[in-house]
Amino acid sequence: MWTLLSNPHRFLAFSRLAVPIAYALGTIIFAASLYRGLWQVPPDELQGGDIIRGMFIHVPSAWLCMGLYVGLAGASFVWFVWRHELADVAARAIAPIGAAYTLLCLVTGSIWGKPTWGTWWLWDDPRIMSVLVLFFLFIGYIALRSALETRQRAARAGAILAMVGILNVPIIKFSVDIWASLHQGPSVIRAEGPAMAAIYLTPLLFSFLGQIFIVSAMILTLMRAEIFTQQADRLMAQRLGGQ
Amino acid sequence: MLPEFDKNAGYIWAIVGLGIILPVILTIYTQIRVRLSLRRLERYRMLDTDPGDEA
Repeated sequence: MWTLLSNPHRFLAFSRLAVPIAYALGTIIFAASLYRGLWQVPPDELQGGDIIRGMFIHVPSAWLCMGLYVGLAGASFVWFVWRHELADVAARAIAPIGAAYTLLCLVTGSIWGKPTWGTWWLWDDPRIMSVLVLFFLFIGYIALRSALETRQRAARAGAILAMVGILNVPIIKFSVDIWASLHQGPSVIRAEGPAMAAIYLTPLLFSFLGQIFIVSAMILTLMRAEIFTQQADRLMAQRLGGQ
Repeated sequence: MLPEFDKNAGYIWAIVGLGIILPVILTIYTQIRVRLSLRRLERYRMLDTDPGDEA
């Protein structure tokens, strides 16, 4: 699959078809999960009543930002080891989407925190701080790449930053187990199985699935943009070289 | 018809609103990026094949 798509022309043909399909599937699944989560699911009195409905946005955004960082670090690793150009294109495309979803996770978490904990923000909460570090890693990656002149140097420096930063992902995941935190412990991904009732878990997982499709469509679109930019740069370089 | 929530309705709608607006904004951003880069590539391709360009 990867070998097949490593050719930019094949990738462009594939993504041209995949983007609208992913958008359509993602929008339908995400809308259905929100309808279920907002209209049909009863409030959970043990979790503060109706505010539990914020989970259908906040939790998928938290999983997505971690997943996107793993994708960024993975693509960077592939570029760093095998110098696979499409992997670098993918890393560049993932970074702004990852930064945006990390910001969404922080902001929605802050809004959820106010009625639940009585505060918008806690500087000493390990989960909030480790997600804030993740946001700075995404922003740092984008800034570092923009600051360096040649594409190769930017890709190399960005890849090293992305690979080192992967250490933060398990810190986010296990922060609530290791340190004292206002965040509740894991309730979905845990050894004993999900602690959450199926009535909440199902729309939550569907919301996540729908957003995976939407985010994939965005990343493929940005990868297409990056490939077009590289092709244009190459044409320009040939033109200047021929004069 | 919108559902009715308890006293935290404002917080819930703020979270849901952001969760819907962000993908819309990102979709617009990605579409603008891809269209601009494709337009630039097509312009360069036209320049490259323009027979009167040598003059």
